[in-house]
Amino acid sequence: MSCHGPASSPVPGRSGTATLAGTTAPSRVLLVGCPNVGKSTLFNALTGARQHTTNAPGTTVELATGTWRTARQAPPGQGPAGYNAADSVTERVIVDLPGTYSLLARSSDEQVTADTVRELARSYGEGGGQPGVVVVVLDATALARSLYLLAQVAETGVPLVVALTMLDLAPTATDWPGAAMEPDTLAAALAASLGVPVVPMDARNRTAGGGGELASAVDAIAQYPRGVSGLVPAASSVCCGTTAAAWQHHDAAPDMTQELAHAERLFEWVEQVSEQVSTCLARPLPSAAHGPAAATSVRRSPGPLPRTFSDRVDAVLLNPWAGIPVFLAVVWMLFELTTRFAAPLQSAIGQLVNGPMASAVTWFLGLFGLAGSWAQGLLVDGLLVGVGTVLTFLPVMAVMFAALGVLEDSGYLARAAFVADRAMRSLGLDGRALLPLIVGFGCNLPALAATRTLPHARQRLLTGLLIPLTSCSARLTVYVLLAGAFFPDHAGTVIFAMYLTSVLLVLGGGLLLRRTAFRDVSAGPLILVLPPYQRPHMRTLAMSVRLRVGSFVVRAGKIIVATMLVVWVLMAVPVTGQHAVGHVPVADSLYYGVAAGIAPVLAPAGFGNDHAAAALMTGFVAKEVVVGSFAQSYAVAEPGNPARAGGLGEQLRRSFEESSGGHGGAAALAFMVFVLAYTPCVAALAEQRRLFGWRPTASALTVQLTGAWVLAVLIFQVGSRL
Amino acid sequence: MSAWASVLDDVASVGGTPAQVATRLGLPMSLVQAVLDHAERLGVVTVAGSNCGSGCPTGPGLPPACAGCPLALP
Repeated sequence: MSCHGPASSPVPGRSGTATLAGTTAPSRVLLVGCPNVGKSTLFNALTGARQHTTNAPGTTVELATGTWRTARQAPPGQGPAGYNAADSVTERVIVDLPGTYSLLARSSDEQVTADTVRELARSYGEGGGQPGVVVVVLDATALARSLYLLAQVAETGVPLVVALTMLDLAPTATDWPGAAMEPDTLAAALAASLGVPVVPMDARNRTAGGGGELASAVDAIAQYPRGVSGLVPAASSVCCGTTAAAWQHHDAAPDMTQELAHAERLFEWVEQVSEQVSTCLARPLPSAAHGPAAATSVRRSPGPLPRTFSDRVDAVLLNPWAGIPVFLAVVWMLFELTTRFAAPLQSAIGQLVNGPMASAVTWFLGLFGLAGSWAQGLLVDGLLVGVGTVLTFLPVMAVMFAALGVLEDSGYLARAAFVADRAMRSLGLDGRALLPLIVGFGCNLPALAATRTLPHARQRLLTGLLIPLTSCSARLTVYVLLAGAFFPDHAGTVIFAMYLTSVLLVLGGGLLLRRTAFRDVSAGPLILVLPPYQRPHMRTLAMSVRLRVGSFVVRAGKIIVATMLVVWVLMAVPVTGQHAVGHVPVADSLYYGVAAGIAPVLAPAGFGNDHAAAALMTGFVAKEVVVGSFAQSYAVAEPGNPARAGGLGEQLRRSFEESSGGHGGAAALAFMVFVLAYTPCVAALAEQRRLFGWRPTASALTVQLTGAWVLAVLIFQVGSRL
Repeated sequence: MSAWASVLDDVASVGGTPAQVATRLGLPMSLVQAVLDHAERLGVVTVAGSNCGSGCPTGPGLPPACAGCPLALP
């Protein structure tokens, strides 16, 4: 291989003769490159003001298109006097495609780039003139990454030219010894290795930035196209025919062995080019700054590794024996912090809603003669009590979101996922299933949707059956209420125990299913890459907490208000006795007629009272309304009974003590486990049916209800005897 | 062993950030990033900090799977 030919020329013709004169410009030039490599700067320099923006066909992705004008070279032997000025300018349409690291697209922007390049390759393959040329913009400071994209573009078979940018920053590149070379030297070495023109660019310098040289190279390669050395254009190449997103949505994954083998070849080529360039660059400078070891191999000797802060912390946090206890301790502290810090604020909001606000609404209704009417019942005992009780959980949510935000932004949660992944794999579960399962701790619904990223239908079904066992944030409100009412001194520990129970249920359920109905599912490959540790950005964190709390209030609020209205209507409809609609003792209402029918079934678990049965019934709609249902049912049932005075916690304790024969704490624990284990919500049920069909969903529903009942009975029966 | 194989082997057995992997293997950072990016697109690697596996994703590129999640940022 010759190292030091000109960077951008000559371009040999088919006869092997180098020629530039008389070439015809391509109709279109596509600018392709990684994000932030100076592609748009180059586009602006080449087009000036002659550009406009349009959407890519069928998408909302914007494409900048412009006209690239250059002076045409006079034919040989024809002087300026005989040269028509009107013919002296060559115009090309140039398109600035969205930046991408790969043609294996993951976003609509990247897809537009990949599709446009492939469309050009198809046009080129069909013949008929010169449909266009691709200019691949290479970043001199991160050459390997740019070469990877270049390889993918070259494999499509399009004629291409390389524009080398970021040369002024190349001396600062630490991972690429050749980057600090002279621009022309580096470009020539690359051109020799790649076999296509390489033009060093300085887009900020319009007169001497390399625009003319690039135009000549583009026109020449359009007329005499040739491939990149070491790469064979392949229209059926696995790299370019399938996107990651596409194959993930098929039951049968593509031939991964073929994909991996292709990737191996592709990166061998990247390494080979890097080493050839290093070798070329080493020849004029055989010693001193670029010794043989550094210059002839892209690899550096690993040598003694400097231990960074991340290394020292990861040595502990990524160790399975230390990492899991640390993770559990962090989660326990999170709940302790949440419950202790938020408790006074919760109390203040509760008093405000149930005291002055309820009085104000009653007074306001009295102005219109509605005091004591069904309207007061609906607004005060229904909506205000239900929504107000849920509002008391805003401090809990805010503190928890802030703490989770700190853990997430710092990079710790990623380490926790890494350690948990290893633990799951050691139990024989697929590590890939970890991701949707962890989403389930936020909300089961998107977690079920996230199973679509799993490559096999059986894996999706297995994970989808386990997701309802993950404790979503809506269930947290129930834990906070009951733990605060029954275990005020250890509320954080109790909530932590509920999350631990959730994890154990997932692992136990997974092991059971893997050893019975899902013996055919095997763990697939998954490797987690960790982000570096960093200090959380307080402003971003505050915005994140505000948005998440706001989102929780709006989305949960809609469900709560709608459900509370339905519940109130059901409470206003009499099924026994002679009562007018809206003036029904709760025991005679339709709502409690159904709840009273369910309550005996729950008696062995210690919470066979109408209030608990009714709350579980509404909890079927969404777990957010369980707390509101409790508050509403106590308010409606005994609005003016002094014997029932006290806060919601006090009323809950009385009910559970009565229904459990004096073992209220055990009954409360059993109730929380029931809430954890039974169907998360109607929406999750509908999503399961949509993804997996009626039969698995109906089976899962039966197992969830039965399992929740068995667990609750077991916990109460054991707990009440301790 | 090729850069592709050595990077994946290292991440699978030891784990860590791309910078740590690059340092351990003596490879250019951009090559390690390119290998991991390609592996992630093939679905054999997940960047733990950029998806729901480590909490909630943020920013405009919210995955479709997070639509409707009360914890996801708009």
